[in-house]
Amino acid sequence: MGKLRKILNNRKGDAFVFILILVFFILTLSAILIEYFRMESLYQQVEYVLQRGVNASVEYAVLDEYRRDGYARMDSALAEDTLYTYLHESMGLDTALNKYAGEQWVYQLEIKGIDVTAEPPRLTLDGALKTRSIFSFLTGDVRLPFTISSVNNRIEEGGSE
Amino acid sequence: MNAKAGISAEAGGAKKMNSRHRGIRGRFSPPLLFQKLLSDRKGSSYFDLIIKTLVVITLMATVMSFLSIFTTYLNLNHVCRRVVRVVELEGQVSDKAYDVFYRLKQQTGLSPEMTVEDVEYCEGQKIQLRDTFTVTMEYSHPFTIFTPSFAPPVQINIPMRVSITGMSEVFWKLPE
Repeated sequence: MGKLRKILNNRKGDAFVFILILVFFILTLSAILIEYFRMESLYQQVEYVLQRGVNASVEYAVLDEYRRDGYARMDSALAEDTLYTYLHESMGLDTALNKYAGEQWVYQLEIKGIDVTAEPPRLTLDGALKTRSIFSFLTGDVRLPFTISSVNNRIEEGGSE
Repeated sequence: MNAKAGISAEAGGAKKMNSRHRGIRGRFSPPLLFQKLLSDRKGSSYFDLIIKTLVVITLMATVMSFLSIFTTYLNLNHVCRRVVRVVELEGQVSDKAYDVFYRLKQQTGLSPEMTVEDVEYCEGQKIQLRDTFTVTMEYSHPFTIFTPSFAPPVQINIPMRVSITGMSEVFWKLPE
């Protein structure tokens, strides 16, 4: 006890300890910032790719025979199937919707629900992006929620004028 | 006999040296006033501050000029991304994509060359749903090192290349 008090009262080398604390603080802050921007970038990329997939699914499933008569209608089951095909084939996700870069796990898509309406043709994908950060030992896995929707009301012919 | 030999210079054996012609340290030493100024330490911290400020300003100017390279690269990336998005939404390399490209060229002041690669057209310039393509933009950024008043600026050209892959979002029904 007395030895500990002596150490605590001893002012020798306090500048060194202060520098150590300062370096630790700066490194932690840098790590937090870098990690934040890494995850933000990942989230934006995944959101962009998912939006593309949802748009493509709706576009593919719109029924042309209705469009010819001036109605916008969609095959809901086909849209959902097309979306899953896109997730597996184009995004390279496995059956549990995990994404790997080589051998390393990057993220997992947790789909909470897919809301498809035939009229108007609309598909809404609701879920979360599960990923890991370097602070996972403190916070566990990080879940970033997303809601992505696509509507196709176009009734004229062709993809462009 | 030799009376002058024993007489000191002070006593008239030799004339005293003219201090105007020979300074303390020799014949060609700087004038006394200048020497005084050099050896005077008054206001030295002021000069120190001026030199430090000049160094800091030069460093900042250098850093700022290097930043322009990154800004140009970011602009090129932005132009490429926007063009890719237009092609994705249009499902073809249409006039709209070229319009956006030229408008962005004007806005950013860059003049990159655009090529669409790794693409399989299904009819004309159409790209089928979920088919991928790559838009590549190349630009040579002239980085000015310094601009002398009597000669043209000294520049180095930094080649930049941005490639972004996109995917068509338009389903083209093709005649069978």
